[in-house]
Amino acid sequence: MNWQAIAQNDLRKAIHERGAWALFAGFFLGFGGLAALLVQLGGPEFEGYIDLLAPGVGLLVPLAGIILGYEAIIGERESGTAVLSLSMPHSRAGLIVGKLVGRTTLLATVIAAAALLASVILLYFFPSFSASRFVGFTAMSIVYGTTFLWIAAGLSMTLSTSRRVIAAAFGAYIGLTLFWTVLIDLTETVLFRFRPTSGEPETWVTLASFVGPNTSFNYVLAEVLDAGTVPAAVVDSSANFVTPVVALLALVGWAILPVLGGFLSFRQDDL
Amino acid sequence: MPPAIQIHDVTKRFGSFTAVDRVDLQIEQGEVFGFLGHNGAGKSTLINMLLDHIRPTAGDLEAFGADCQTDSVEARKHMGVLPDGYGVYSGLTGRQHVQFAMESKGVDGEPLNLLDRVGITEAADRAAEGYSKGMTQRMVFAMALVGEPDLLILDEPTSGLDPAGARSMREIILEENERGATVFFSSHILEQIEAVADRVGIMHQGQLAAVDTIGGLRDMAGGETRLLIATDNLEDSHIDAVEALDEVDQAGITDEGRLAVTCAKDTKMDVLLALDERGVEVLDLTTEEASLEDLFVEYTRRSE
Repeated sequence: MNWQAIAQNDLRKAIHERGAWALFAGFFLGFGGLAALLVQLGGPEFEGYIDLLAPGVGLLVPLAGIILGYEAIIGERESGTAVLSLSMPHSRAGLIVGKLVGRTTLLATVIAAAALLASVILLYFFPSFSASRFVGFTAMSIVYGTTFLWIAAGLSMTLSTSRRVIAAAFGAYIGLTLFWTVLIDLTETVLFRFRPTSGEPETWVTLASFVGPNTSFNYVLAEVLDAGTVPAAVVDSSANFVTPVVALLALVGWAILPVLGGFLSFRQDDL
Repeated sequence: MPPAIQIHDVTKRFGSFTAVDRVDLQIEQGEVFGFLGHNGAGKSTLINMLLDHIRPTAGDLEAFGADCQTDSVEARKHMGVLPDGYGVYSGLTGRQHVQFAMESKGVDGEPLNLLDRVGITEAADRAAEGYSKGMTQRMVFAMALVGEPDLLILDEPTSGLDPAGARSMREIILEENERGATVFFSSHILEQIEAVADRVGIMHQGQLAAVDTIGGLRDMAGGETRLLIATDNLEDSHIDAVEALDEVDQAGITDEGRLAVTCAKDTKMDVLLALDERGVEVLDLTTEEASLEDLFVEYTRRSE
């Protein structure tokens, strides 16, 4: 499988992508701007900085993933470059892997470069700056963004126009980041016929809430990196599956399943 | 030695529309095969099935013994392709496009040499999206030539090219064939095919209406020739005598006063002898062979 050529070509092209540069600027303004604001307010503390950064990143990083991911396959099909690359000895799986590697590398570069630039400000103005925590925070942001990038890429392999991919990807974004826990709670309420349950919620409710990507992400940040707050759904939970490893596995699952489904559909499609 | 292309009973339907209808075709290694047909005749559909871009409803295709569907990467390793309906990578230059083809095929080399060969050296470092149709076509042709492929598959290669460009592409096609490459190319322009192809397949409404050498096709389509004969004196009785000959379809007088005879190719001498016997002196003789265009019209009409 010669996916390296696809990934390399994708990255070569990325230099000319306005979206990627805009995202880089946006992330830098976000990371750096918040730091500058705290400096302005006086007595900047790294604790406060990272606690404020966590929820913002939780909302913005998935958007970046979607923006960089939604065109992965449908863009190549609509522009006709898929015809070009698949006329060479690339398999459809190779095309997908190459595009995912290329796009993910681009996302990671954009976030890491912005974080690196911002860390210059942090290093200078924040006496309590912890490099290891900030690196961990950046890495986790990349993982979270990648999850949504892969969801969008998966949709991009299945749906027939980029408009539909955008609509579905933003639907997934809103559903998964804002309404996942609400949906689970609603389901629980309906199942229990509106009788209020007392005490600990059902185990499956906790599990379902916990594996929501937003919850998993915020849990890892709070638990491992002490950034932001532990999500309400699992804050008091004594369930043994509420661990960072399960949270990470949940994010990986959210990334891989759509790609797998997308691959199965793209594999048998006519170009 | 497996054939370069083996197409066995291939059908492709899109809904209720049959784009390709039970096509059988074998192309030997080393051939230049021209694939002729109107737009929409099913040429590109068949080519896209060789590339595994679309899948046959029934039947199977092989390139150099590799199944184009189950083993499509292996099949495409033998190919250099100028496909139909491609787009270029925005932001990338011509050089980078050829470089991508080299990396994809695992070939080392200098992209500029290939761009030079197709005649767009000076545009190598400009973004390909700004190229004209003809330049884009040349660039993708250069991508197809990467790695000296065993089989060149060219879908309407000369579209968008000016006559000089089309001629230099034909020259490269012949050079590649000289090197040992099999060439399979489609066109709706007869002259293109006539100029380079050893064999021709005529595709019409999804079916392969005929496969033969150009000479063979001429013979099959009647092989009729039109003779224009200038004579010193010509009387109606002479015309009747010529028309009475076997294998002469028609004889008459043109506006310029020449004798025009439509007959089978090998009856030419009989006509001249018949005139000589009657004391008619032949001053000048021109023949008009049926053009491939006539053949094509003949074939497509017949299969309707």
